[in-house]
Amino acid sequence: MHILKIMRVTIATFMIALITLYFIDFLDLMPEELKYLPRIQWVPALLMVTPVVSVLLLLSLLFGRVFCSAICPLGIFQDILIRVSSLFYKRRKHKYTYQKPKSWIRYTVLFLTLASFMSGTSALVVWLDPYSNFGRIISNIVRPAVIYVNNFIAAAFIRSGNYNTPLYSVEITGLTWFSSICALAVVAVLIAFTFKHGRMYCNVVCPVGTFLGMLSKVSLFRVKLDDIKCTSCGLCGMSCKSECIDSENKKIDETRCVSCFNCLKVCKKGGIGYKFILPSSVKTLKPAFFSKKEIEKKTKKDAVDQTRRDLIITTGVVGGAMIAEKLSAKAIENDPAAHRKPIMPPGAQDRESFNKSCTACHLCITKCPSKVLTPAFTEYGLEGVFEPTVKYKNGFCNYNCDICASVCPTGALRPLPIEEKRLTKIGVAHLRLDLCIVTNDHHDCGACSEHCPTQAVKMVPFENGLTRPQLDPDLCIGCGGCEFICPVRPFQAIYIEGVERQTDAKKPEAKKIEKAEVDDFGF
Amino acid sequence: MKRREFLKNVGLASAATLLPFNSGKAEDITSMVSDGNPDIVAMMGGSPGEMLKKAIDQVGGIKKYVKKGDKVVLKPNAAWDKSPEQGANTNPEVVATMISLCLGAGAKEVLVFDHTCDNQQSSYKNSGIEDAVKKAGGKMIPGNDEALYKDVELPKGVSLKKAKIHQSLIDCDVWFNMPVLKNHGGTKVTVSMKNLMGIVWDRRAFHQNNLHQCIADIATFSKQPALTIVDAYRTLINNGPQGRTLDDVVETKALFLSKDMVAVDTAAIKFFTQVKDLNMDDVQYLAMARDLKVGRMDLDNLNIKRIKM
Repeated sequence: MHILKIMRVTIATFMIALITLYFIDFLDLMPEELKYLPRIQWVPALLMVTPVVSVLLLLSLLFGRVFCSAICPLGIFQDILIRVSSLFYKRRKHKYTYQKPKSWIRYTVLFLTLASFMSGTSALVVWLDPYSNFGRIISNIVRPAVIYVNNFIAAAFIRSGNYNTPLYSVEITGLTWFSSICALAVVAVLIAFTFKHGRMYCNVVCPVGTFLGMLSKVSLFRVKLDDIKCTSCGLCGMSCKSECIDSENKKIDETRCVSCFNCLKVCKKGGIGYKFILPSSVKTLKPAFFSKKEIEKKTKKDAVDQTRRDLIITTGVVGGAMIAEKLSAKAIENDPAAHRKPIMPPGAQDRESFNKSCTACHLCITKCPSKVLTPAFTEYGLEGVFEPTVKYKNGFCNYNCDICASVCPTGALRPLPIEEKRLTKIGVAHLRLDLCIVTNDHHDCGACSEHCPTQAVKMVPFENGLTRPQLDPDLCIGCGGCEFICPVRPFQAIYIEGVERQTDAKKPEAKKIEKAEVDDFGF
Repeated sequence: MKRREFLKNVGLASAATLLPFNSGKAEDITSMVSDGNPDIVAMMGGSPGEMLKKAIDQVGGIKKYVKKGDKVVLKPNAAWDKSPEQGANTNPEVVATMISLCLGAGAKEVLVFDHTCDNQQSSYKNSGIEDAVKKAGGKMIPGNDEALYKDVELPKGVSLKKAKIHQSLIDCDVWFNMPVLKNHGGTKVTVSMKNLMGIVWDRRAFHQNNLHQCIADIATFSKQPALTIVDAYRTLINNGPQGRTLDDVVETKALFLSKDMVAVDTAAIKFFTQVKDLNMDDVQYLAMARDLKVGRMDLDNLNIKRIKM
């Protein structure tokens, strides 16, 4: 095997294994530092505006699209799909054949993605960013499956009274049907693409791939066919999963080459190599790429096909979404708390910046130990689909926890020092005393106040020695402890409503108590 | 009118005889037959571990309760993601000392759990209890999984007729209830019987069906703790049960021990009233549990051993 390919495969294996394990890690065994892996992905790095961008830029200008082969988890995931499909479908000779570039689709997608982002919506970025798509595939499909198996084994141990197991069962949360089905659909599309045309997603749809393609046209190292040694035998083209080697004309479309180096090892004649090419020779390459006229006809037909497919998929998704929304709306229309504003995770600051910078990779959702984060459906409107929102069904936001904000790779959640997080108002409680157990049953309860870390909900004397909750909204940070534990059904007597902009809550007044000396038992 | 009143009274009285606590059949749940040992041991002034050791000596030593090869379970309060200094959870030193004593008496294993209110992992860790348990040779087991809880009938219960109780308690040979004494927004104060809400799965049901009564009902669980050990080394007196800052905590350096949960709760709450104004009658579960014959509230008639260190 070619040394370059060995390097590529080694790095890629590490990369996808670590990212996948980090996402799945429901037992919290992986080192925290792995949170930096998503930050070397293109879209997160761009959104966070970190120095990583210049490193990635340099990498592409030097070596071409090595990012797509060794760093991008969705790219590596497709390589795995290709491997797996080759196990089931062994073609004798023609694995891949050269395809003309689908330039206008890819540049249109890139343009639309950029243009829509500039005009303030990240919807296309959410749907198309390869890293976030990978994140959603792992967190919406793979992770729950792994937890399910874990729970099965853990339950077997625990039912037999054996507590000497490192496994314990973990609630499967942070999923919605819509989000999981969409992640499955992406996998299905990738399987279809890779089965026939290898890295077609990367070279037709992926805006990052298209952008890096533009850079790699001028990169210093490129795969190149040797005018003299190449016999146009076509072996390299058959091994090229980007289907970008036209060995007949001894041309390689560098914009699509993902630097996987598969071609290098198949050529026995030294007709192909990864070579240092001075930028001055760019001009000679240009005509090859821009000779659109001769391929216009085929492109047009492909484009029409693709458009039709896109149309069908879009209709399906939007239609499905509308039906689902209708159904869920019907179920909750009687809930007085139904029309509350969505709650953003701590560190989101305000709706606009959050919805814009979040790519919905779902890393925060998988890391939330309190299980309050879940992918939004239309809570944030259409542009915020999949983005994390806070729901207090399975738990409440831990007062001492800032994990979501600390792992966010895009800066959509700004890291919060814990003292600041404890004051960050992600929502505000609404107390409905008319529904309260104490009011109606004349029994003590206090569950809400018990769970309130700031004592924004305080038990005050009611009647007959009973105490009833009283709310100070200024102290409330919206952690949802009260809503989660409130026993009143069908609708809780206290619930949290989200805010448009996260502000600081009033600091609880430290009431110094008399440090009473006790020197007797009192009985 | 007189006849009507008479009939009404007869009717009420007969109805009352149908109620379980008046049936005369109910035996005291806690064995109140005096074994010569004090009914309550009250300690003050020592370190948590020393006080526990000395208190257990007063009631006949640990070997009286833990036999060789026994599977032991401890139920401390480890419900909150708070540091030991904040007094929201049982003092880890008390738990660790108890484990050492049990293992010293030949216990096969000592398991420790709580059905936490805050996230389990962080509560176990930050309460300092997980660490203390590991070091002392016990095992911290999960309490956050419904599969761990088994249906148990509570025939003596009034509101709560059955509950899902942690299987380790059902399977063990002997268990100890190890609450912390502290303020509580709902029930005014929490000690040993309120601590039993951490042995059940569905806590919301308690809040839905008269909290005080449900607490008294769960205390009728037929497998009573061999001893109840109340940690009152640091007492959270405001903003309970989790507290906000260290300003809510008073260092009271006490520990109480008894076989009788009602008696030890009554004693501990009397102690508590020294640092916080409280009407004992508002802690309704005490009298309710007494009426269910879980234990006694008449401290004056009990043999109490008071030791200051």
